[in-house]
Amino acid sequence: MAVRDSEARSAVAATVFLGFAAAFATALIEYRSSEVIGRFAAPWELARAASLLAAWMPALLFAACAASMSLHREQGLRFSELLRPVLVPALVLALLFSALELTVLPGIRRAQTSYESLSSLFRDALSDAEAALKAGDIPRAQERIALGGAIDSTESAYKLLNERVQRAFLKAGQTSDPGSVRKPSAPPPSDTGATAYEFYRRAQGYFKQGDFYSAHWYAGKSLILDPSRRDARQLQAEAWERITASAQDPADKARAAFHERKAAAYALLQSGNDLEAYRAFTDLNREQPKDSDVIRYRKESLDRLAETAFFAEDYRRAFAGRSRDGFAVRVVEGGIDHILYASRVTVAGPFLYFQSFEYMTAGAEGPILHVRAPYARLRGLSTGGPARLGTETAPPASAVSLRMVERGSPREASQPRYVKGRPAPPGQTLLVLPMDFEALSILLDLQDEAERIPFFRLVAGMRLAPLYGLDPSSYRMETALRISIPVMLMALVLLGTALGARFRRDEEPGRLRMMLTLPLLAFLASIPLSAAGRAGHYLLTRLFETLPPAGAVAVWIGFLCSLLTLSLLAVGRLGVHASD
Amino acid sequence: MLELSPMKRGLSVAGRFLLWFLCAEIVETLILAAGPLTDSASGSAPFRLIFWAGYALESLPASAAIALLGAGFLATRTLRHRLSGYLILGTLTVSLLGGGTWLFRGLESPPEPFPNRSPASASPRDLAPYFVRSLSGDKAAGIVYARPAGSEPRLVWAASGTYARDKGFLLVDRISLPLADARPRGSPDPLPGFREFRTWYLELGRGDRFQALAASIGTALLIVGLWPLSRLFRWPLIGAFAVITAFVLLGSLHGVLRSPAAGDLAALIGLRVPGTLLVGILAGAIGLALILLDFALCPSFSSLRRNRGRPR
Repeated sequence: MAVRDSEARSAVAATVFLGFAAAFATALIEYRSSEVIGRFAAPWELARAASLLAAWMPALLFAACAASMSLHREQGLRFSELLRPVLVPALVLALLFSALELTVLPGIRRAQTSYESLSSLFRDALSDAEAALKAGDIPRAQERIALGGAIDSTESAYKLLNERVQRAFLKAGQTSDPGSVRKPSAPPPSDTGATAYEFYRRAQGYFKQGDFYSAHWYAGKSLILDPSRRDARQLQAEAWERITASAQDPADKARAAFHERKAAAYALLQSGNDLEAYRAFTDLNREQPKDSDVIRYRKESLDRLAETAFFAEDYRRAFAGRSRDGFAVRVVEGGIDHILYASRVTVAGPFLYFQSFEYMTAGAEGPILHVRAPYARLRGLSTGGPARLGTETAPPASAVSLRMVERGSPREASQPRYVKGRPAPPGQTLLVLPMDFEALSILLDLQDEAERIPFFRLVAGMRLAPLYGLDPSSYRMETALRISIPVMLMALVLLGTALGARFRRDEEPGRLRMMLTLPLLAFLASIPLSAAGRAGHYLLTRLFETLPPAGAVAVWIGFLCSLLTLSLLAVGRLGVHASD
Repeated sequence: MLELSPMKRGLSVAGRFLLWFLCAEIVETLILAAGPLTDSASGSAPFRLIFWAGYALESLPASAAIALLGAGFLATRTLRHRLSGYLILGTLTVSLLGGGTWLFRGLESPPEPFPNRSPASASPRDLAPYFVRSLSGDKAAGIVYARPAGSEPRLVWAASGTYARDKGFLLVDRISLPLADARPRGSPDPLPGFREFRTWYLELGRGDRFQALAASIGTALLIVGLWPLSRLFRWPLIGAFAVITAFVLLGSLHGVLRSPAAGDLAALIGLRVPGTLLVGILAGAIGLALILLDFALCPSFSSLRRNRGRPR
């Protein structure tokens, strides 16, 4: 029995379908050892199967074309009529696959990696939480279990451990403060928008009620807003006199001292010393957790602090995911070099986090500013104009916070060190750089494995790299490789068809036997194809090492064209013998 | 198709083999030498000649395999008896690989006159003429004739060390590097195992003459043993794929024969011979086994249908 047109067409499609089934089965087997959590099981399976199929596709297409052509036996047809049912579906598949490789597949590969890293992060968080629970460190256990819950709150391992952590938390609360359930403090009156006079009136009211502490507090707030108010100063002095006069027993003295510290912390907050204010309010909060003023201004100082600094837990969470080593960029603006270096860097939402951050500006006469910080965080600044990367109309800018603070214990805060130059506005711990957040994110992305970088990112990287002092040749080379995918696949389809026509089988092998032989053919084909792929990569690398980029690309395109021509000639030459 | 006499058919196969061999040899030598040539290569004319000869010699086994692949299909289609095929292809492959080891010995003596530079500051290992293949700062690598203290100058093929620019010689830190190390960083080996295979072949000539010859003949037999793979399967397409794959894996397969595991295997059957000879024996045994399989399993060529892939 001969293989007919429709069978040839379906043989190509069936091979690809069987390839996907095999890829899915392989992914299923791999799943057991992948340690991917249940929530990501299905998407990971699909992503992995798609990645595997993409890797196998050249060999599958090649084998499918060769097999279909080798078994094609319809008599009385011209060579072109013999070729059409094999070549047309195979070329359509090749072009479809090339389009996917340029658009969707890198994203799928990246998604697969992110499922794996998130699963690993989830397991680490749970294991840390368990260790912290055993060590009696309930806050840490809560923090880690919260991270695990953010990734997957449906996993049974999380549920069980979370129950244990919550139980331990409740038990610890009962032990430290038996019989008292902490009530939420009443919301303090709003001070937002209040004037100095209103604060003074409020202080007067409290004075009359005999609440000298509140009277002193509000008189102080009135003075901060308007230091020239004599009435407020007098009222504050009187209230303080009453407080100190009545503080006969130790409890009153402690209360007075607490009040004084609270006022001092508030003054710090008003003077813009956010870190010191946050430290002072955190200390006060530990002593009097129910004090509504302390709660309110601690939060306010935290919010203000977050504008110039960042918190260690966010930094740690960001670095729990994937990070890159050794990031260095250089921008020249107005004749001044701006150089940024970090030993490790990661991206989290709208921020880039750096470890061992270093920034230097240098003019014609040498370095102007050189600052180092153990930790830093960068965020993009809106430029006001149309934000187009690398254009002159809207110069890009980013703000870098150089201070990292432990939210729970703000005494622990990292500080920048100015090796050369002095801090300029907006402050010692905040730098404004002429670098674009989006561009930096793209350049960071480009440090990923090449096969996981989307094509358009590569193109953007090619454009951005010179602006940021990076060598774009590797991106050019990868782009050249991507462009060659459709050509290589078409050449494989043609060569496979030619090989099939050359080594025809006279006897019908039987459909089952043929289907069983196809995987063997694909496997046998994959080894020389892999070697050919490596040889191509070698050639391209040599070209880019030896020639200027434009020349290398031109030679590569010439090589691809000649390869395609040779493949066409191979099929054509076999057509001459096909009549035999 | 025009019917040719058996003699002409044989000559046609031999011609095809030599044509493929020459093409493969030229292309492979050019590919291997292209990197070093562009990487600030330098040296006088005799050394340039040795440089090319070195790369041409190490390309011999792979070129012979490619030639066998190219001529093997023609031999299957046109020859009446497979024995004649083995005689033609086998003799050519064995001659080329065996001859390569002899050629190497001819290159061992340095071109005259051998400069006698031995500055007081130089170490006893200082070397004289060189052909710099790559240069980075004061570090260089090249094909070098060495004159170790108290001995005659000899070719070490490849060495790396400090390049004394003003004195014009190379102080060698390390010798016997694989010759074909022009692979760009981050780029995988196109054919795994071939680099080591080539280096092994090049080093053969430096050892015992008989062992070198035995090893090269054994390797040639292994290469000839690839030919019947194309006929072992009923579907000729699988045979074609199998023989191409076997060629790609030839370097890795030869690597297994050079590994300690091969020595353990030989010890199992009580074979205690030097390493080079052992590689020759094992490679030759595998090649012969494949040829015997051909005679045992595949139909004779007399039943071969002309211009088709496999015998009926």
